[in-house]
Amino acid sequence: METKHLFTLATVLCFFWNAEASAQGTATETIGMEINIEPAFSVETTADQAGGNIELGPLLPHGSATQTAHVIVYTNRGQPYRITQHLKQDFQNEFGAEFDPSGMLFSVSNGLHGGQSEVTDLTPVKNGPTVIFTSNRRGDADEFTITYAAKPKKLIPAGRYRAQIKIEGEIQ
Amino acid sequence: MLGFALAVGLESNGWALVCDIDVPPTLSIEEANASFTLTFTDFIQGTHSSTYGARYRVECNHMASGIVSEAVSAQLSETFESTKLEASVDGYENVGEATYATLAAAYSGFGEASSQSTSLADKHTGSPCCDTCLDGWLAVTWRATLTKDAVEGSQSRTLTITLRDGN
Repeated sequence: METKHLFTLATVLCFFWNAEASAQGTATETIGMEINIEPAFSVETTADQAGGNIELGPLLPHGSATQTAHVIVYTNRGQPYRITQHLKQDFQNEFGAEFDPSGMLFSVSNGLHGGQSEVTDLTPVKNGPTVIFTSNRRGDADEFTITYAAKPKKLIPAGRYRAQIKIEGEIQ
Repeated sequence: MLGFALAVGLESNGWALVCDIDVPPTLSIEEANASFTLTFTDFIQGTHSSTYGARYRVECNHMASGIVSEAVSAQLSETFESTKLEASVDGYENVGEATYATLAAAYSGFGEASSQSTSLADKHTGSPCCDTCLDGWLAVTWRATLTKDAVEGSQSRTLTITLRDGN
């Protein structure tokens, strides 16, 4: 969107320059123009549910709940990259009780454009950074899905447990 | 010559997702058999019937903190003729975390269960993190005792076992 606005501005400038020149006779002016597209690399995540958050539940005893998030990687760098996941804080409810992270599992799909999942089977979410996805060798933009599943092994105190999960990209 | 440069760049490589897990309140007490029969081999006052060992599956994740008296209670729809129903709480097996709350017998030995609500077990305090959770099996032995010499026949009543969270 920003690019389109700047192109429009450039066209208008050219027009006024030539119009002024015509009024005095005939003259031409050459304008040199350069478009410099800088390297870009960004990761965007959206969840299926409204609000963009991952909502798991209601989680009944002996039950489980799943939810998916979509990750889109925009890049023009042409370098391989990898995506990591990081549980920023433990799941905690409004009364301070914690949800055992070993009961919070996730898996990752392969990318639509050749990237590979590093977590194909359901695995517990870890506190430290975990590599979950690797791009193809050209480092193409890609998109993939993360499936989150809450499967507690024990009865969990009632409440709403919240944590932040950070998804980050890293050029290799 | 005029120069005109247009630069486009984007460098944002992280995204934080907020993840919520909703665990609703749960409260249940169940037993495998819907009914049981106690049999007398004699009709003389003071005779005890056969016994029935029940195991009640208890689950709750929002018990009140601290001790909850009469957490598990029993009540007959109406008393038996010439017979009293008795219960002995034989123990509680916690199958959850060691930090969960537990149940303990409200009295030792056999006590009478009548048409009034009668306490079988109290909730005892667990660790602060998990005192609201009960997850286990409560073992109760049922028997009947003749309060008078009895005539031949059978009687049937409804027995209600209740788990309350104390909130």
